[in-house]
Amino acid sequence: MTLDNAAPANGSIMVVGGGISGLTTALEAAEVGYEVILVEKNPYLGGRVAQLNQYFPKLCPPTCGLEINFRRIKDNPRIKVLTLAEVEKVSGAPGSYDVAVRITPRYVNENCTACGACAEACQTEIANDFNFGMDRTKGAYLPHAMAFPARFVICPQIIGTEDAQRCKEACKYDAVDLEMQPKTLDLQVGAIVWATGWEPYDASRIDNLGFGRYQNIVTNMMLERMAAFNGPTQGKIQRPSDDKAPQSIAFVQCAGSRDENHLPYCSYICCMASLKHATYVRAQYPEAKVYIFYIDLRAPGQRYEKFYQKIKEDPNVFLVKGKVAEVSEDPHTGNLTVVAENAVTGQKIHQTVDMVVLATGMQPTAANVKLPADLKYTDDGFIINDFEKGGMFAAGCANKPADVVSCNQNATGMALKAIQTLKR
Amino acid sequence: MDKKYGVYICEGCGIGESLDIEALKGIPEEEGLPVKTHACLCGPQGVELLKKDIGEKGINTLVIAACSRRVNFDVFRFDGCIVDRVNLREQVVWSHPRSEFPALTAEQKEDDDNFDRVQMLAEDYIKMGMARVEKITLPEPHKLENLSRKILVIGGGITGMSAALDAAKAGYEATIVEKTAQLGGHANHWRKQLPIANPYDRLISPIVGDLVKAVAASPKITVKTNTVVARIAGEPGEFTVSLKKPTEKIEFDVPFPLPDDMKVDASGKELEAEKLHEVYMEYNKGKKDILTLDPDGELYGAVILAAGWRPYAPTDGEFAHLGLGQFADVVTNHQFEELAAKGKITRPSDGKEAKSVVFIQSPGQGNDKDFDFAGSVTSLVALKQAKYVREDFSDGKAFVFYQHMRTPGLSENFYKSIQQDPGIFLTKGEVVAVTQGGGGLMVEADNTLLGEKIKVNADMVVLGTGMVPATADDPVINLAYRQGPGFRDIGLFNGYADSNFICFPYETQRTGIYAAGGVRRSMTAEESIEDASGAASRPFSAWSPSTAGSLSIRVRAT
Repeated sequence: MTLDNAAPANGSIMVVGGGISGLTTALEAAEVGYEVILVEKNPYLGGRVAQLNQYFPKLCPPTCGLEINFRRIKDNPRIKVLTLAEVEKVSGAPGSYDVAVRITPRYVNENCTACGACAEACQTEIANDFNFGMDRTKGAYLPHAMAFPARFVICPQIIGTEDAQRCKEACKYDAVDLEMQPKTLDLQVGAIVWATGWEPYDASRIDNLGFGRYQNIVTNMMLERMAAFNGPTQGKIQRPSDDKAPQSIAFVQCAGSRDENHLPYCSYICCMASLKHATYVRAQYPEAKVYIFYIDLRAPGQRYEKFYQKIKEDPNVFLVKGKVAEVSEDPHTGNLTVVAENAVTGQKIHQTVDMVVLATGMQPTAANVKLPADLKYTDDGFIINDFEKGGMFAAGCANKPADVVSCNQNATGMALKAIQTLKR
Repeated sequence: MDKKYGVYICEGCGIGESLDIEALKGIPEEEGLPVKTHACLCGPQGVELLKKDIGEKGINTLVIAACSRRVNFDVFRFDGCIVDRVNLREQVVWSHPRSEFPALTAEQKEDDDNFDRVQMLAEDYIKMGMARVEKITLPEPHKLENLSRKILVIGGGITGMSAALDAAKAGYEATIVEKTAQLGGHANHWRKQLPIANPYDRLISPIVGDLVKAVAASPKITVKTNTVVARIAGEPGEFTVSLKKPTEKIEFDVPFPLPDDMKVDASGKELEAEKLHEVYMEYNKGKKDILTLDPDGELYGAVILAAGWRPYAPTDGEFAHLGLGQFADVVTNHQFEELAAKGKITRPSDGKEAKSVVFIQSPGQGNDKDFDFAGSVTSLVALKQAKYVREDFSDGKAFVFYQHMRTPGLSENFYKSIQQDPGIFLTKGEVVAVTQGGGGLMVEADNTLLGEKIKVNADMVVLGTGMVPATADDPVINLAYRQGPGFRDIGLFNGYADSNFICFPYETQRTGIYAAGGVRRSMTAEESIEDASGAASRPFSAWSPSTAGSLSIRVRAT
């Protein structure tokens, strides 16, 4: 892996997005022998899966596959990784694109040993985006414990302040460079694969479900961070209002998905994610009761079916077919009441629980901000692949809502598609 | 390689403050290895020091006792040198801070029984590193004499053809081996197929014809119909493949391991080794052993297994409560598709028009599972076939009883479009019985969304049975390997040829063989086409010389 900025010759491939999909595409192409430039907007690689505690259905850690991929990157001189980098403009045609990539300064250079002295010296605290704002981090920070590249970042808010100076002085290796400037690279590539991923749908837009108003309602991704050992609570699932261990949790499926008012499509992973979360809760709290309110339980494929059947057997997990109409709060206790109609019995259910998890859907990042290239999108912002035209392709969740396995399948295939463009 | 050793200990990042560096130096010194220390090995002066030793002193086997191998991998990479990283930073000093594991006081040092655990840890790691570099050799690529870059595609359906086309488009030759007389697979028997592109809201004509034409037009693709794989011998990159007609018996058929019941005598006792061998040889009479290579075999570099699936075949009496086997007008979805592809849908019993059709997605009986091997494909197929009824008859009605409507992701749009059709009724429900009645069939369902038991008159009933992978019946790949001809199921795969990895979906248990399509998982045509691209991509990186030839086994090695 090289971190330098030399412009490569034509006949190279650019992969935009360094999450699991982007990594997969980049590595497949680089291992065939092509030059690949991996452009990632965060200061670290791994994207959304780096925020996960475990994958379903095997309940295995994402770091396993990520570290294998990082190792492959390290061994391959044909991959250039650009972090804190975003594509500004794309022009040209399949086989020959001109791409302007803007690099935002990290204010930390290659001397960084990740010792943490700057973070200790820094006195500013900022919301920790990696943990969805559930805790705070210093203005000089390592994005997360297993961040790769393992290099600190100084947030732009403190640049020009005394605090920034403190960080600089604390560094024994002269790694803090407060004078770093943004720069733009002009690169020529033959094919581009957009692996720009997804973001959780903004749950506060779903009025009737109370997110943002009532403290003890979290999203599925927030629960994932809580369950992670390197998360805001060191792995403990607890109620935001009083840190209490929940004895009852309700999961609201299709929070924002399959809904004309929000996301009309199915986000594919949320049923499996909630089943997985049920295992987290039950492992931590053997007496806890888990209620899952769903429309259809989608566990696509034989492996996922087996997982679902196993969780169904748990006497403390209750699956109810019924879309949740409303979530309300008892302000004295912080408890929440979920109102739903059992679709089969017709009974109205009022279930009071300690905590509610909204299984919010996923939106492609291009839903809200279109990419600076000549791409076609569905109404919901997913990039449509045109294999006849070639040249540019979408991989992973940029193309459709999918689980990690499907994203990796798709990303592997897109590497080949990109190579086909170069061979035309 | 003539090794010249050098040990280098970095004192930066707290290592020097926490450990007794002089004592650490003693470890290599005791073995007669040269050792140097530096305040910051990864910095420019540190690297200079290392480069100098390599250039001037010919040091080529380095133990670098500093930080984790996860960082500074590019800094400590020197061509032609063996570098072993001993992690004194993260694994010793950072994870065992002196605040929790204090160093020995002068007084404590006086008693020989006291020892400093942290120091000992560091010393042990250095010893391990030194032992390792003695044994490490620089990796050599496994060079094959006859690396073939031709791809064998087993299966000429949508998946196989797509994979071959993708390989050809990337400049490689592929051979499709298809067991039936023509390409196309199951798609040849469809009336219509599910949408494969945005907005996913309507059925389309099967695209299989276009694929067959494209394959025929491609100079890089060879097609062999009425052909199956008798044996795949050799190794990844150099597979020697013996092909044959499906019913032939040839001497290069692959030997099969003895079935369990043949390994024991009449009383159930396991046979002696000699007797076992005799039985094995008799069982495989006429076949060449696995080490004999077929002189007429064809050389291939990689295999894409796209052998697809077959419809689930209910046993006698299975689904009797749903009328299967009892009433001619109760059929599986596969049979219904064949009827529909021939023309207007009529009842098998008397040829009358089938204007009212009930689709049953789950066998019920207390469980909300779909039929075995259904995946989330049969839900979509039921919707498709419900539409057929509406296409054929303006007064046609379709009823779909499901436990979960499995239309995940963007296929949700297709479900929504079907929901708009006033002639298609969809409800969750458990079908408890299918009997004769009302001039045709009577379907009784319970626990429905309508809140009550309902009875529906039906001209025909269609069961949403699943897609059984080809490898559930037969090894297909017929490997001439000691471990046997097929993939091992080990209770994980349920007959599918799949990878158990989430992050590396194409690595089957056999290197160089990549599975795609229905043989790997129940999939729609769209998913299969995409899957084919992925599988077709894998051979190219596995073959590349840049990966030192060992990439294809990377996941097991790492």
